Amino acid sequence: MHIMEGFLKPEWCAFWFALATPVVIYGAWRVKREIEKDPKAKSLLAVSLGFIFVLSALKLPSVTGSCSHPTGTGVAVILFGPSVTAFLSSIALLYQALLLAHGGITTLGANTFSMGIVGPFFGFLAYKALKKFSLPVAFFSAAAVADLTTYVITSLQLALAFPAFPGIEGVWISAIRFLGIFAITQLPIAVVEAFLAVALLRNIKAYSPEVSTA
Amino acid sequence: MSESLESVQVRSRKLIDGPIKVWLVIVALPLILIDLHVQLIALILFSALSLHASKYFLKLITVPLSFIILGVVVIMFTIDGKEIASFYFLKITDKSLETAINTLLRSFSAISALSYLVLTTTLPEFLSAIRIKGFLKEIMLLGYRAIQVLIEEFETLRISADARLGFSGIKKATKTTSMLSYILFLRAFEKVEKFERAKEARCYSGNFPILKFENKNSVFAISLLALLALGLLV
Repeated sequence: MHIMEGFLKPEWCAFWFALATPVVIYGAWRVKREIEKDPKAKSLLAVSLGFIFVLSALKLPSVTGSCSHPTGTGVAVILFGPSVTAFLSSIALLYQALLLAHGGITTLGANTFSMGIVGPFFGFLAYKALKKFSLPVAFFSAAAVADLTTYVITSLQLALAFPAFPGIEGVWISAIRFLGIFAITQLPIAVVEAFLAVALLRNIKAYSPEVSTA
Repeated sequence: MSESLESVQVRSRKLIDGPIKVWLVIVALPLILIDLHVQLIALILFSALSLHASKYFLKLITVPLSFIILGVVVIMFTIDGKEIASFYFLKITDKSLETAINTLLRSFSAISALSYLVLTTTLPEFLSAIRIKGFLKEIMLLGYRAIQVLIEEFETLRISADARLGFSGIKKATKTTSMLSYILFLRAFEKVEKFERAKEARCYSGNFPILKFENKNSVFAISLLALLALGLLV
């Protein structure tokens, strides 16, 4: 769920940038520390960045007939943890804007906030909570929760920018309308992506046990 | 995908070139967000620049434009006001129509500016223009390289899966996609090791070299920006 270039008014662009930047900087700081400890981590991070980019560019068949794509962040957060995911997805989102004109530079803050920070964070919480009971369930819910939270946050961001009428109540009404409309495509996508994440992560666990998950 | 894009970027005709074009777009984007006149001027100028740069422009903007139009249609039915038209339970109001048109113009204008950047600037050139340094520069450049390698890899895998009817039906397509992404994940880790070895073999010391790029037609770029700023005053 990318918010396209120019879709938000300048004050909202600035607001989401202000919210997203500290988290991304913290992620960058963590990455830097990692690199200083082990210079080999650089290549690993670079390839993870490529993996996130390609994963989010995968096309999934969706019900409406159009092609939609998963965010890939549900998988990323299990493999790399929330702060590194925030840092890497902010770069992946910038690259999507600069290579595909998908998303945008002015809306980078808003997109990073929903797709790179809040969505993966809640996915991570779901994963941590369910890990003890059953791994596949934890994988499934991590990806589904990450996807759904991203969709809820994006709807809220759009509702704040385009309230039905001025005031808090207008925002809520708008949010409910956006949630209702986007549910048509986002709910099936979340389910498909969650199945995809389970299959992918189970393969990784089964055949590459040396890869550690958070 | 990005390989062909890179050749488009290198071959496109650049009326304005060098770091100044990156800054032109970066400064123009916030101006575009602010004011209606700037949006009109920018839409015309940047569309012309992009179209002149490469015919690929029309292909590049189809996906973003369809997303924008979809989003604007949603906005059109969301905002309350005086009703002017309705379909079943969906209402278009005077305020929603106004907001929708404003958003449409703002987005189109911003996308045209962004696409000039996309069409004419390779990522290393972008990074050198914004003078990024240190580990960020390294990770971003290595990441860019990894993206290209992985996309190529993925394309090969996808074609071979498609040739074996791996994408017939939603269920099969999902299964195939999950298998492909796992193989891609394995290949990614293989690539990490090869990366390391290739870097060491070339005496890599933590400094990723980028070409220096010269400014071209900076006067034109500055007058373009001045024109946009003029739109702000009107």
